[in-house]
Amino acid sequence: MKNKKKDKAGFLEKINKSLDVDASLLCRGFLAELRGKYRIELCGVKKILSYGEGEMVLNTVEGVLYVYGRRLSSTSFKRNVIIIEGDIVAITFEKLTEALNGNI
Amino acid sequence: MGIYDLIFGEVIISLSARDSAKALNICMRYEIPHKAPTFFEDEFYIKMTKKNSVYFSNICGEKKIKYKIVDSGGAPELLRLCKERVGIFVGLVSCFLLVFFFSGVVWRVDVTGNENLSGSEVEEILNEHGFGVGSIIGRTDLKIIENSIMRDNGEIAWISVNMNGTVANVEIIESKSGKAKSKQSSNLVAKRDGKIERIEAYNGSVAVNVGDIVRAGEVLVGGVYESEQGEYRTTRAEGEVYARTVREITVEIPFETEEKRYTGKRRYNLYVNFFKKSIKIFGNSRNVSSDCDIIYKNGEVGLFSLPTIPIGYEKVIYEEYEKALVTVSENEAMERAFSVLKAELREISNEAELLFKDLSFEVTDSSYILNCKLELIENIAIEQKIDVG
Repeated sequence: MKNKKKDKAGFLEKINKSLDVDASLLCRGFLAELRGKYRIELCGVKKILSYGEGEMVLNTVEGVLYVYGRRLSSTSFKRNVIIIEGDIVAITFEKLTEALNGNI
Repeated sequence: MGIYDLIFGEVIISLSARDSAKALNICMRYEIPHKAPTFFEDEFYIKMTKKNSVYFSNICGEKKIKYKIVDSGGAPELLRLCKERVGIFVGLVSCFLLVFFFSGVVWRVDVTGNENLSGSEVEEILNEHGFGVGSIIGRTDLKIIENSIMRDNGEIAWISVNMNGTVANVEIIESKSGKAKSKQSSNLVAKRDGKIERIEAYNGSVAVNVGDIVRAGEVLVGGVYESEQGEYRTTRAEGEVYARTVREITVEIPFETEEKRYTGKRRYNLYVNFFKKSIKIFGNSRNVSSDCDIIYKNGEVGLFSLPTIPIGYEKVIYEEYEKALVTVSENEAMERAFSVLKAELREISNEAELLFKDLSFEVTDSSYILNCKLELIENIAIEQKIDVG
């Protein structure tokens, strides 16, 4: 368990550098690198607002999550947990209040 | 396709790319397992089990989302195809059952080594001991059957039953001695009156001479004789004693007789013989009267020069007749009398030598009577057992 946490932290740091993703954003999910592809697991996803190979927009409990990349696909989406695989280029997040103010 | 998908069936659903998010949200909200969501041109494809696809389709219908099932596979799809082609499925199952069942049953019995006993007699002996066409291979102990046949049947010295696939090869060696000679003491006595012409005695003491007139019942060759020590001993008298005898044959043909006449009414039952079982497949002989001739016709199935198989048919024909009073003329009665006499003479000539024949006839009001007096030379010796007290 201890080693897993350490690995996760190491992963996050590495991904953070390559993807320019806020670490706090991923604290609810797990990001893994697998043969050049990324695999991201996110909790608290209420609904998929938009689904596409280049962009996915997810409505979470805290706000709206944008995932950008190439050949993106959702390999699992159940019990509010989504797993996205693909060449993830960037992930951005808009908090709930900001989202309400926006065009969602 | 994995084993799970193979068993439960897999379906590929296609929707518009615009509805991809809606489809995934439905799957998440209603907990419908799915996999491999992919885009191709303007279409979005998703895979799920056949059972889940029905649920998914209902929800899409309610939400007015257009979808299309583009492909399906697995066992449910195969069963659906089989439902439309029941014949293939039934044929495969029947073929499997037939091969499995019929390869474990005796189809034919081949008998070799028999000289005096016919093949069908040997088969009948085997049937009495629980083996034959239709017996299940492996369930019958052949050694026990062989031993019981040799024990119970004096005509068979040795028997061996070997299975070659579904054919039973039976080899037998018959007993050389045949019927055992009787050791019972007996005399040879005359069966009718006559004058002795020739004596051929093999055993016993001859009690008559050539030229003697003997009566029926008189001892011709005795089985009792006195030994040198003054004791009496018995033996079985054997031999032939030929004598000149006279026989009278009378044939009476009445002018009015009851004759059998067929009414033309025919009924029949048809059976299919399947190994030892006989199954009735057709019959219309329910109201047949008791005055009828019953004819049995059997047929077996065989292809060209191949051996016949134990599947055949039996047709039982019931031909009704009635008894009618018929009047015959004197000429017809005479012809019938002569034909009856001819048949009796033929039978007598098999065992006797005919020397003289004298015919006479008589016509009464009711019948034609033909008398025939015969003089023959025949063997009049018959065996009469001696009770030794």
